[in-house]
Amino acid sequence: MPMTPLQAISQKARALNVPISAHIDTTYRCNFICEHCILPSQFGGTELSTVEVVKVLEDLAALGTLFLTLSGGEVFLRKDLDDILAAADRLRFCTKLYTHGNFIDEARVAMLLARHVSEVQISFYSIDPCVHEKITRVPGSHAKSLHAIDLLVAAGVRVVLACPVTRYNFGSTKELTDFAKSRKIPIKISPQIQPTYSGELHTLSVATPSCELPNVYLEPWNESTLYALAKAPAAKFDDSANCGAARSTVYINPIGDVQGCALMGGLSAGNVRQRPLADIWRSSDVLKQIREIARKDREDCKRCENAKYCSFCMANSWQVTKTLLSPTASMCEQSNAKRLAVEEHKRRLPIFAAMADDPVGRQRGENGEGDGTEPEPDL
Amino acid sequence: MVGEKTQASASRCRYELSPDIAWRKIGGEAFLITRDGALTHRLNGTATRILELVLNDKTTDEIVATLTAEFSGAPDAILRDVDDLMTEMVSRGVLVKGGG
Repeated sequence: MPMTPLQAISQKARALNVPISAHIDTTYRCNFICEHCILPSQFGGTELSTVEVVKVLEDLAALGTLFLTLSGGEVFLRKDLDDILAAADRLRFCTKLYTHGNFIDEARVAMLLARHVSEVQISFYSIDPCVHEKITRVPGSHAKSLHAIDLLVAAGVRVVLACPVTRYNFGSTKELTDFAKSRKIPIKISPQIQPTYSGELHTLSVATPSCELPNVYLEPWNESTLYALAKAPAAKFDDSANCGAARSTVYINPIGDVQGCALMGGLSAGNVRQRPLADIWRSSDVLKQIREIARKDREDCKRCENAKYCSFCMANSWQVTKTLLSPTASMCEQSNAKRLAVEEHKRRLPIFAAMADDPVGRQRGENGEGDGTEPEPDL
Repeated sequence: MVGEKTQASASRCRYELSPDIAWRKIGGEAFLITRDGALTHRLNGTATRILELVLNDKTTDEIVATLTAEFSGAPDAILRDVDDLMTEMVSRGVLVKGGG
C-alpha cells in the first residue's frame, strides 16, 4: 500500500531528525486545579517574552517544524496569544491549541479564525457538570467549556475533546462519546494518567483503579483500538525508535528549556535563552542519547506477554525510574488491562474474534474511522 | 493572436500560497497540508522549486526563465509544465492568483 503524504512526512522527519512536531507550553499558569494535572506544583523562572516565543517559532520553522501545538497551563492566559498566533500563521505552521476553553468568547473565536488555527483541543471530562467540576475544582467551568465548544463549532473551527479518565469519571465515557458524536466532534479518551513533568507521583492517586481498567478499555470509545490491537502482530524489538521523542518531536517549556518530549521534565537539552534552538537540536548530548535508544534496548520487555499491547513510554520511565528503558508499574498495568479487554471482547463477540484473527481482515479500526475517536498521527 | 495574448498575459501572473495552507520543505520535497488537516500534498523536487519561486513573488515568466536556466529545457515546454502545475495547484486550493 503506498504511503500517504502524512506517513511520508513522518518517515522523512524521523530519518532526517527533523522536529516536524513541536509542543510549546507558553505558560504554566492555570486557573484550574485538576488533581491529574501534569504540570509541576513548583515552578520558577520568567516566561519567554513575545519576542522570544516568536524567535523560537522562526527557529522551529527553519528546522522544518510543520505541526505546532501551543499549550500551557492555560494558553489563553498569555495576553500576547494573538501576537504568537499571528507569527505562527505567517510562518505557515499547522497550529493547534490545547485549552480548557473557559476564556473563549466571540472575539477570541474570530481571532482563531483570522490566524488560521487548525484545531482547538478542549479538556472536557464529563457531560455531567458535577463530575467535570469535581475534577477542575472551578464552579461554572463546565458551562463555560460547553459554551466554547458551541461557539467554535458554529464558527467552523475544528474542535477535539480531550478526556483523561480518572477515578472521578470512569464509567461515564459512553455518554461523553455519544455527546461528541452528536456534535460530530472527535474525542480523545485516555485512562493513562502521568506523573507531573517534574516526576511527582501524586497525580497517580486519581488514576482509574487497576481492577476497573479493563472495563474502561472495553468501552465503546476504544472499540476500534481493541480491534487494531487484536490484529496487531507480536511486538518487535528491533532497531526502530520507541517513539518520535528527540527524533521528530521537540518540546519547549515556558522558560525556554528544550526537551525531546513534554513529559521528559528534568532532561533539558539546553535553553533557548542561552543557545540557539537549532544548535541545541543538532548537538545536544541529551537529545543524541535519546535518539540512540531503540526498541531492541528494552531488555525487560522482551519476554512480556503483554508486549504487543504496551504503549511503552520513555518519558514515563524517566519520570518514575530516572532511566529511559524501565517499564513502570503504570505502563504494565495499562498493557495488561488492554490484553484483558481484547480477550474479553473476543469472548463476548465471536465475530470480533473471527475478524481479528482474519489475516486479511478489514482496515476499519486501525485508523479510528467510524467511532468518533481519532488516534494521534504517528509523528 | 488571441492565444498568444492569453499566454503572454498568463505568463505575467503571480500566484500566492492560499492562507489555508501550511507547508515545509523536508529533504528536498515540499509537504503541504490544509490547516484543517483534511488534505495533504507532497511535491517532487521540481514542483517544490516552482513553489519556492512562487513564494519569492516571481511571475510565471520569471519562473520559466529561472527553470530554463537551471534545467536547460526548452522554454515552451517548461512554460506548459509550469502552467499545468499552476492550474492543478489552483484547482486544489493550494495557490490563489495574486496581483499582476
